[in-house]
Amino acid sequence: MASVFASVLRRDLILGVRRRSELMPALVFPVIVMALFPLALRPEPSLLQGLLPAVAWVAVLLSVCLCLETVFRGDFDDASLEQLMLSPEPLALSVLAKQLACWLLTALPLLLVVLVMAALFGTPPRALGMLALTMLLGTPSLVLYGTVAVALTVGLRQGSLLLSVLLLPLVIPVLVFATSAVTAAPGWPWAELSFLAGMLLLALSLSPFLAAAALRARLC
Amino acid sequence: MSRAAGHDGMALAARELACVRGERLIFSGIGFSLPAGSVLLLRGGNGSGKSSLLQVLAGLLPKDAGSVLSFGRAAGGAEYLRGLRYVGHGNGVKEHMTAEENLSFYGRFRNWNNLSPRLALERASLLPRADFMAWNLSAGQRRRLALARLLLAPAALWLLDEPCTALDGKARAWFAEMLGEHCAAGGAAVIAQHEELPVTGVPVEELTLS
Repeated sequence: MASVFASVLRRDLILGVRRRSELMPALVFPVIVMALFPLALRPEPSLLQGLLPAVAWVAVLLSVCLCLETVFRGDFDDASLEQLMLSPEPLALSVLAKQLACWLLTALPLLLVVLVMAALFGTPPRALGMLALTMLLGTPSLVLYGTVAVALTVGLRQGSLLLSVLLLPLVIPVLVFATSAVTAAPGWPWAELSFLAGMLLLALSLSPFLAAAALRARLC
Repeated sequence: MSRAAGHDGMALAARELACVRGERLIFSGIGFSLPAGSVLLLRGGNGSGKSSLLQVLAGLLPKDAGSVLSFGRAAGGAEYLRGLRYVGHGNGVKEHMTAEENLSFYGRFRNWNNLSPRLALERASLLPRADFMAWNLSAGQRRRLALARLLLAPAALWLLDEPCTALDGKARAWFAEMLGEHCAAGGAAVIAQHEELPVTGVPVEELTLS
């Protein structure tokens, strides 16, 4: 079982690094969004700091959604997906490996990019720390819930519209609690952080199985 | 139960198989028994359901009626899948990995380690291309790479969908030799193919889908 997980993770990381140019738009996008806000609004530090949680998290959310679309598409197009399904081990293991690879390749670099941009907004260190923490707790949930929606739409011609309709209601709670946690800094927002952690645990326990079932249903 | 017992020894036994996709009946009433060491050739025009039948046999598509057994094991179970190799329309080859990386991935993923990826590439005459990214390979070379997966570890049953697509004469001969060795070692195969199989000395049965 370990070999299934490790081999798929390794393969997807290699492919992700070799096709990094395809990931660049998702990393540049939040930079552009966060650079445009101070230009469009008044460049007042107090105003920008108040807006930061919302701007940063909306940028992260849209950016992750951009990356998610391709999670299963490559495997679907070149028929590797059939081969993953024919393994005697549970398909959910391969799915979990793909989800982890997706998070490492997109959300982790995104975290660094967004933190640098947030520092340029003049964000105090406590709020920066809280932003990093909410991203560490929130982005895995985005990827986990998102891949279920992606699995349901893989191979559909007009999949992207359906994908956003399926995906956004699932990820809005993450957005709401993450932004309110960052706004609460320098206080310690236990309720919001617990909720984010709870969402993550729920996603971790359910989403590999749901996405695997959705993939099987899509191939039928 | 004597009939069921008779089916137990078969590499693949199908009874009264039917498949419906959407509103359309793809096939129904398909039945055959394939003893170990022999080949079943699926015939039929385009769209007659050959690929669907292979996918049903592989457990990738649900069957709407009937049963599939391999040595008494039901299709789709872990033991059944362990003895199964499937090469469909798509090659399952990653363009951004080298020929060797593609094979080693499947070797690690499925614990197929009887033959090293480099030896399998050598048998597929792809060794000079081992370090080429798969996007540099021609259609025929990619097909050979997909078929070379079959060499990594022996299996009871091969399900192949148009294996000779894009293969040249030499590669066809290689495939025939590989299939001959598979059958000589007691393996069975179901192959969807339009042309004659270039293989000799292997019992071949035909099933025509309409």
